[in-house]
Amino acid sequence: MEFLKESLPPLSLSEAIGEASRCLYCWNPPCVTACPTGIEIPKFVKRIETGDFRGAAEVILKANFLGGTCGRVCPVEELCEGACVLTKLKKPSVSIGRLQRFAIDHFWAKQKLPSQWHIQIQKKKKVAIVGSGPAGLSCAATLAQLGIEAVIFEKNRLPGGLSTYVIPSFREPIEVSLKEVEEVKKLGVPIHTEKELGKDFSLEELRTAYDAVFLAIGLGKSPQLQIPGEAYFLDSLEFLSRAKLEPWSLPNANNIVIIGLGNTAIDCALVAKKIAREKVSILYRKRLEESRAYPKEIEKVLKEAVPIQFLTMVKEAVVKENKLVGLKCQRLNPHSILDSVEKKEQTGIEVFLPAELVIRASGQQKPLWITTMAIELDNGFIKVNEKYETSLPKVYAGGDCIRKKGMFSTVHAVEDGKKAAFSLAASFS
Amino acid sequence: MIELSIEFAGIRSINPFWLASGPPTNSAAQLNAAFEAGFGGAVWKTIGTAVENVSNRYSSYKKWDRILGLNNLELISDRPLELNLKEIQEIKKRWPDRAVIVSIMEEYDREKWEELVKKVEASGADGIELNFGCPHGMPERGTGSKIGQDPILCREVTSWVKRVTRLPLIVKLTPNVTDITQTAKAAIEGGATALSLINTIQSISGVDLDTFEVLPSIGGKSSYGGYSGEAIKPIALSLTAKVASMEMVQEKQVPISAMGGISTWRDSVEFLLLGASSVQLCSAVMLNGFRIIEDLLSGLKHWMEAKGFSSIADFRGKSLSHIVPFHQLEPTFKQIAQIDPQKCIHCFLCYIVCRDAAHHCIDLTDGKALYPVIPSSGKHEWMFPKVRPEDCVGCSLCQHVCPVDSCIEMITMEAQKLELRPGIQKKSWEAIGKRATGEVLYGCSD
Repeated sequence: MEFLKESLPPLSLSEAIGEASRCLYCWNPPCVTACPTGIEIPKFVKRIETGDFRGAAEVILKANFLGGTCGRVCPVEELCEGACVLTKLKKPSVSIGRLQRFAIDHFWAKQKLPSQWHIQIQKKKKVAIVGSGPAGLSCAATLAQLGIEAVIFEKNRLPGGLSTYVIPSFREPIEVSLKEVEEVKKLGVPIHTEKELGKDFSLEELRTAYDAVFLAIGLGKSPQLQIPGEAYFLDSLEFLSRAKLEPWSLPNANNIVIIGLGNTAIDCALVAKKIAREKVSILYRKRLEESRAYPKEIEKVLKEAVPIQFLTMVKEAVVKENKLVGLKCQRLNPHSILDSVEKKEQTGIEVFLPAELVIRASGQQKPLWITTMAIELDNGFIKVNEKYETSLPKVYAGGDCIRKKGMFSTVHAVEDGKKAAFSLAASFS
Repeated sequence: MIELSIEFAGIRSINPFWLASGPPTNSAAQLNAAFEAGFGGAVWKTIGTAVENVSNRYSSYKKWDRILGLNNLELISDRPLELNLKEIQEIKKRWPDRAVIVSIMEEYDREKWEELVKKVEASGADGIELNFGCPHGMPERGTGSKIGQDPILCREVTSWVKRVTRLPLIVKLTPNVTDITQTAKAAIEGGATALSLINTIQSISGVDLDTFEVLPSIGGKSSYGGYSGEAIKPIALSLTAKVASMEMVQEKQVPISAMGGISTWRDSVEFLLLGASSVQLCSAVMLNGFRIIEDLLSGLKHWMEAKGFSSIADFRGKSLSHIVPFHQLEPTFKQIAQIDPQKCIHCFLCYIVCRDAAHHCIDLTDGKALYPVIPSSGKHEWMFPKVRPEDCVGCSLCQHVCPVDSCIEMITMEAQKLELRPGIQKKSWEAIGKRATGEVLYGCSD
């Protein structure tokens, strides 16, 4: 099994210019409002049209240091492209995501930071950042550009967070994620890998040695379903990570079943389809319309003809001779008007579904463990105010770990990191 | 370190991008916004004689969504003269590092011109631009392009103004002439310190097929307007090069402010490479707003960095030496079209335009195309266009109509291969045009 290649080809030069010329260059446009990082979209699109690719990249990177990743992974249909005024004329929106990727790829091909980014770190204030995912990287990049020293601690071997480890290669090649990490390092930000909060250092140590701390710790693995035989299930992030970085380590399975229908579950299904080719199916305990995955993702998984069993709850894993052979499931009443799954009437109809590999994509665990460090939670997520301050003085937080409301997306994490950096800078002055 | 600031006829400007005299430079509020956005200078909308403007004064030449050109029947400033002068003074005080030039036009009356010039000089403007180019409304009153089209009048009025002012004097030339070098020469002889070109081209943008009205329709009637916008750029480039190549202009180092269809940084660089020292924009701003200046500056800066230029002077006029009189073009330089069958999408436009409007040297060959495009049956997808190299003259029409990137390439023929083409002249036009006695047959003047 080989590494998966990026599935959407890049725009050619003439395609990019042609597409860019469709942009009306609106004033005060909805696409900019829709972008969580506020990239001045028509400005960079027009610069692509006139062949000023460096100028286009400058516009993007000024607002979003991880523009290369975001141009690939953002759910543009829900954000900028969905807001494009052309859609009101029943025309296709400008392909903003592809154009952003085009600009950044071209810019990287020239291998230079924009001239105004020769950073002078003042070495007066220091911030420790825990986590090198988009929130942490974005915070570090913004701090560095403001002249504030930033140091990142990352528990994994490679930096980049989900962009490196989890987002499938057909959308986010690992090279893109690691390239952005390099760009952050070039600003003078050291990244210490294999250093885990709570194991290799404590929060107190950071608060003593640094002027402030930014927690960008993300979320955990999928929560347990509390059913017998669960030990044989593979966590979704674990599956995606192994498929991306060490595909040979995955078991040869003829029948892959994914539990869940969120964005991660769909990614697992699409990746599994590329590995197993056949016999990939999804089990979902709710109805299709109750899925909170992006509509575009649901479209993708349906197009791949992945069978989805709705209103089906897994009760037990069936194991024979220490090998997983299937799942005992229970159908739920489709006419049940009760919202809570637990309260949905069970029809009593039991089914056995064969499965050799079961991937549990039941969401991600909230960072409940952080309460041991005297940080308050809100519905399980780290509680922050509008300045990204947590309940603990000098400690800020951003990214998925604070995401009580809203999308769990890379671009929102980037915006958190950027805003928190400005907040930190303001607190130092 | 890139230096974008320029000095134009003694006027300092933080960058070479100015606003041309027109609707965007009508008031202090607008110039203020323009300078805040980043423009290096502006030419105040022509002040002088009193005028009355009409409604529905613009029409556009459009292809679907794209505006190719604007046609206007707007006259010079219809605001009170004193208000304009007051605002000019305010703006100049507020923006000392930007070029504030005032465009003026008066009737053909020496005293009137002198009076106006004195008032403008008193307002603190950096320079004066003489509007000898308005092609509508004003010529009927004996001014505007009426002056600009006549070298004698041009010289005369310029000298009137030169006598009473020490400010840098820019004469704006109209393209609606037979030979712009004549009017340019006249302006310089009259005392112009600089030239700007081009003003608008006389035009009618369209006719309504249902009402039979001419556009723009002003109460059912229309008149000849002035054409501007992207479509006029090639004409403006040509005239700029003509003026910049004049011996008199080069000897006296007369600076040129070029305009006419400039909308992107690329356009601006083209004019600078053909000898302009500053560029002016109007239609582009009318269609997008002052904010385009950021993109103009960004594009120019990055291009200069990529090319290794640190100032405008490093590349101004660099392309002029590539322009030669026609008889110096080498007929021995031959290219032949070549069509890539793998990229071809079988639209066959190259075939039909070559057949009907060029040299009928593309054949549709029967036989297998490398990749059948349409799965349905039929002969269509099996044909592909092929150039007959022995007949191709290399006009490149096919390359221009081909919708696919790099599908048709023009291949330069090596000299010895030309032996295959019996009809090719190996002498230059100059050689052909001279009899053995040295008498020139084809009267090509430089």
